Order: sequence, then structure tokens, then C-alpha cells
Amino acid sequence: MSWQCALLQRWLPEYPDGDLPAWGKRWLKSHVAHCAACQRELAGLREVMAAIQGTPVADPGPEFWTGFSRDLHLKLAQAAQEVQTAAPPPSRRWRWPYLVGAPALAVLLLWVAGQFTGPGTPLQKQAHIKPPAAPQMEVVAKPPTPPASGGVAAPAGEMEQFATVALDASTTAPLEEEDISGWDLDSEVAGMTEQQKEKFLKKLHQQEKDGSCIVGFSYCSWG
Amino acid sequence: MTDDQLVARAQEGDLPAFEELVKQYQREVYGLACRMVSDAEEAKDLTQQAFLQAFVHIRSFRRDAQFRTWLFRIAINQCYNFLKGRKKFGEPVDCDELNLTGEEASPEANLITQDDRRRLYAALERLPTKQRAVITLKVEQGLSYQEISQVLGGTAGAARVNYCQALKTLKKYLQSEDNHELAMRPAATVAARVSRR
Repeated sequence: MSWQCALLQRWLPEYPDGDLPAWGKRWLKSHVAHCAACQRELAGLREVMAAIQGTPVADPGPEFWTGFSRDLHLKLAQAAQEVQTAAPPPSRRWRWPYLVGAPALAVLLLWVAGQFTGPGTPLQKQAHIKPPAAPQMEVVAKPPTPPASGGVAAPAGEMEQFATVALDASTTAPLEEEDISGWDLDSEVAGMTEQQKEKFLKKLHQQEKDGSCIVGFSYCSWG
Repeated sequence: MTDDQLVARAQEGDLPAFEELVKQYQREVYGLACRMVSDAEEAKDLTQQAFLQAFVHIRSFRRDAQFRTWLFRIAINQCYNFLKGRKKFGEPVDCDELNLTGEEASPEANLITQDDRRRLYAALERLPTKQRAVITLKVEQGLSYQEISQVLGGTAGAARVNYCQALKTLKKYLQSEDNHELAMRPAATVAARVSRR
């Protein structure tokens, strides 16, 4: 089969009519006149069309159609009744109160929400969530003190300057647990004077009472 | 009264006007359904369903196409749905169940017609659904390619290609049915068919 056959056989079912332009019809006609393969194809297609047209769907008879019309009439009447009883769609005339009312309600709700929370209030504050703050720590340079008699002597280099955690009672930062299991209280207080030691222990006891410092456990929390 | 007038009245809920449309097109829709599903009883049910759907949705018919093509589209969709279900549940198809014309002169001629019909329906049954629909709409209902494209979707060119392909495939299937018969049927029956051709 040549490329011409492949191309022109698309129009064979409609031959000699069809939606081809005039030049296409002339080309098809001249090709079919000379091409044996296309002639065979055309004859086969015409045979098939004749077979379809020659065996139409049988008319089932008047009784069938009477029954058909009766059944269908019942179904249609039922459908018509359902359509009538179904809620009619809301008319466009009564839609405008909803169209105006919905945005007004939304604006009102926003205003009420604004009144409760206050304008410009940070969201975190509105939700009563305090932002986590770093514990305020203050490095206090300790003046050199003479070694206490009877106390544990600390190395002079280490004792010259050491960090003391300043407990700021006004700080509202959340408790942060810090592992001080390795701390040695004696070495901490070794370089202090009696007054400082007393003050430090007092503060520590106070924290213990507050609950911000857990004694007896290996974890201590500094507020 | 024209179709347009009947449709306009049916769209206002006039049931007798719609029933007038039903009377006009019931045979065509039934014929289409018969070709599509090869089952007379199912074709009747599908035709009724198609008209019912058309009645329910007639308000959405915009009249930019013919009522006939719109109705065919509904009927084809009903048939597609049915065939999908049948394919899913694997119901067998008995082509002999179809009503026969019975208008042939002699019992012998009647037998030959029955045989031709059975062969044709067996071959049609093997065609893809869309090609079956194209053949039926073109050959039996006489729709143009443009109208077929309105019923089945796609373009007129696609409908023409589908039609051509369907005819070729049907020809092949009918030939294979003949070859099958030559092997299976008694010689006398085959000889009668060959001589008839």
C-alpha cells in the first residue's frame, strides 16, 4: 500500500461524496480508478455499510410502544411532581440582605475581637504566653580577700576572680534547670567572708523555700 | 408544532409537550440503544432512562444544538454507563434475544436474516464503544460528522477518522466471523450464504 492509498483511504467511506475539497475529490477518483487495492477496500467498506443498513433494528410493534409510553408517562409524571415539590431556588430579589449582612457580620466580629485584645498588643501577650527570656546573669568581680583561717584554702589564681550568679528576684524568666551536681559548696564559699557566706547561704535557703532551688537533688534551678 | 416550540413548552414544565417529543424520537433512541447494548430489554430501559433524564434536565438545554443531538448524547451516556457496569460485572450478552423483524417472506429468508443479524451484532459487540456509537449515528441515524462530534465530543475530523476506522475494523470482524463459520457450520448453510452473495 502506497502512501497515497494510506492517505486517501480515509475518505473512502464517503466516496464519491464526502467533505473533501473539489481537487481532493478529483485526486481520489483518479486514484481509485487505477488502484486495485483501494478498489478492494472500497468494495469491502460498501459491503459492511450495506450489511448495517440491511439489518435495521427491528420495530418491536405497537404493543411494545404502548407499554413503553405508559411506563414512561408514569415515570415522567412522578419526576414532574418531584420537580414541583422540590424547594424552589431562592429568588435573586431576597439575596441582597445576605450579601450585605455577611460582610457586616464579619466586620463586627473583627471589631469585637479587637476590643478584647486591644489594638497593637503583641499576639504573644494576647495569648498570655511569655516569651522565654535568658536568665539574667551578672558577672561580679569579687575583690580579693585574705584566706580565711580554718577554711579550705582555694588556689589564689582561681580565687582572684570568679563568677557569681546574681539572683535577681525581679526577674520573671522561667526556671531553667542547670546541672550543678558537680558543684562543691565548700569550694564555692571558701573564698567568702563570714558575712558574705552567711548572705549567700541565706539567699540559697530563701530560694529553697521558694522552690526555685531544689536541694537534695542533683539539679538546681536558678531564677 | 416544531421541535423548538415543543422544547420551549417542555422547558416551562409542559409534560404533554415533552411526551410529543418522546413520540417523535423514541424509535431512534431505542434503535441507538439496541445497537449499543445488543439487548432489547436493556435498550428499552435505557431509552426510558434517557427520556427521563432529558425531562429532568431540559431546563439546562440551551438550544445551541438540535434537541435530537442533545437527546442522543444523553442516550449514549446512558449506554456508556450501562456498558461500564456490564463490563465490571461481566454479564453475558445474548444477541439472539433481540427482537427480529419477522417480515421476511419465507422461513428460509427469515433464517438468513437472523443469521446476518447475529453475525453483525457479534461483530459490533467486538468494536470499541465509541466506534460502535459512530457507526450507528452515521449509518443508521444519518448524522453528519459535525453532529456526531456534538454527540460524542471531539471534532468533526476525529469523528470521520473514527468512522473510517470503525468500518475497517467491522469489515475485518465480519470476515473473521465468516471464516469461523466456514470451520464450524455445516456446508449447506455456508453454501447458501456464498451463493446469496
